[in-house]
Amino acid sequence: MEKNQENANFWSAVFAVLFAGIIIKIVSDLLSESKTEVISDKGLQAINDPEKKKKIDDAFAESAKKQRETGIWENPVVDLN
Amino acid sequence: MSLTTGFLLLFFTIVVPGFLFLRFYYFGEFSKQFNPRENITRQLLFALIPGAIIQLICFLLGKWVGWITLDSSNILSFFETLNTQKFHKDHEAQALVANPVNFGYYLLIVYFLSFLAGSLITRVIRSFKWDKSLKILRYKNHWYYVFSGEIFEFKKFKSAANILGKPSLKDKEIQLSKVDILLNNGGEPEFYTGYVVDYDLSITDPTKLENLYLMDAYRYKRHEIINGDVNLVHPVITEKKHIPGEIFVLNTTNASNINVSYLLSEKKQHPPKWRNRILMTLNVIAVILLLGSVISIVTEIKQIPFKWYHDFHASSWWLDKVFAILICISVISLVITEKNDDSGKYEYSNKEDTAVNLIAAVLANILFWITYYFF
Repeated sequence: MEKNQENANFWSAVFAVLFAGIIIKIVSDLLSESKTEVISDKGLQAINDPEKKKKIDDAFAESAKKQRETGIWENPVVDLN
Repeated sequence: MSLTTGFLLLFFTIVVPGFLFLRFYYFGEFSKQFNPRENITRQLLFALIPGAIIQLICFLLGKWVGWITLDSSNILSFFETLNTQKFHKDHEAQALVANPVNFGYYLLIVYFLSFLAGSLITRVIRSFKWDKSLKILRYKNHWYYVFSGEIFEFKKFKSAANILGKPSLKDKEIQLSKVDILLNNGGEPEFYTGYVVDYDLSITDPTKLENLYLMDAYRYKRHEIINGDVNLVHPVITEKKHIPGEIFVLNTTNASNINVSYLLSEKKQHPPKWRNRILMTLNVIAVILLLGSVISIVTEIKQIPFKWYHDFHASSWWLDKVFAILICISVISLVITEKNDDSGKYEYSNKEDTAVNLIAAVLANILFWITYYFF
C-alpha cells in the first residue's frame, strides 16, 4: 500500500514537472508571438546599411513611378536577406 | 470612519487587483491606454469590473482549495456591518480581520493572479490576432496598427483588398513603413518624409499622435526662383533636402495629413506548425529529463520507486556517477533539435555531431560498466 502511494507520488511529481515545463514553453511562445514593433529588426538593419537602403529607396521610387503610369499604388517588395 | 474603513477594504480587495490587471493588460505599444494620472475616476470605475471578477474567482478558488472557510453571505454581511458601524456586533467580521497576516497573504495571491491574468489574457488576444478580428478587443492605439501594417489584417481592409483585387499579403511580411507628412504650423506648410522607427502618443488622449521618430528624414522646401524684376510671378520649385543626423523627431500635433507606404518582403516558407510544436515539446521534455537524471544521479532521491536505482546509489562511487551522467547527456542530446534561424525549422544535429554523440555514449557506457564492476 505504502509502495503504491510512493509510486503515485513519484509519477505525480514527474507529470507536474513536465506540465510546468510545457506551461513555461507555452508562455514563452505567447510572449514571442505577441510582440509589438513598428519596424522589424531586418528593416532597421536595412536602412542603416547603405547598399540595402539604396535598394529600398529604388524600390519606393519604382513604385511611385508605376503609380504615376498606372494610377495604382503597389507597395515595394524587397528581399532584405 | 466607517466610510474610510469600507473604502480601504474595497480599495485593497477590488480596486488594486483591477488596477494591476489593467496595468499589465495594456502592455508595450498599448500601455498608454491605461493612465491613472489622467482620469483617476474613470480608471477607478474600469478597474472595478476586472477587480471584482478576479476577487470572486480567487474567493471561490480559495473556498474550493479549503483556505477560506467563510461563505459569501458572510462577506456581504461584513461589508454591510462596516457600512452600518456595527463592527463589534458581527463575529464573522471580527474573525475576518482577527488574523491580518493570513488576510495579507490572501491579498498577495490575489495581486499576483491579477498580474498573471492581465499579462496572459492580452498576450493570448495578440497571439491569436483577436484584436484584429474583433473590434471589441481592439486597442485604442490605432497608430500602432497603421505603422506596423497590421491594419491590413482588419476585416474591413481585407474585404476592401478582395473587392479591389489587390494581391494578398499572406505570403508577404511588412518590414518597415515610410511616411510623407504635411504639417501646418500657421505659416508655410512643411512637408517631411522618412522611415518610421518610433512614435509618441499624447498623454491626455492615446488616440492622438504627438511625435514621430524618423530615420533617413528629408524635408521638402519650396523655392521661388527670383530672377530680375521682383514684381513678376516667379516659378516655384520644390527642393528635397536631407536632414543630417541619426533620428529626426517630428512634432505631429499640427499634422494635416500623413501618407504611409510599406516595404514588403517575401515571407519565409515556414515549416508546418505542428512539426515545430512537436519538436519543441520534445526539446522541453528532453531538457527536463536531462536535468532530472543529472540531479537523481548526483544525489539519491528516496521517492524514486526503482530498486535498481537505490542499488546503484548504494554501490557506486563518484566516477560511476560521472560516467552515468555522460551516458545520459550523450543519449538525450541525440533527440534535442536546434532551430535554424533561416528556415525557422527545428533540425536534428548534423551527421558528424550525431556520430560524436553516439561514440561518446558507447565510450561512457563501456567505462561506466568497467568502473562499476571492477573498482
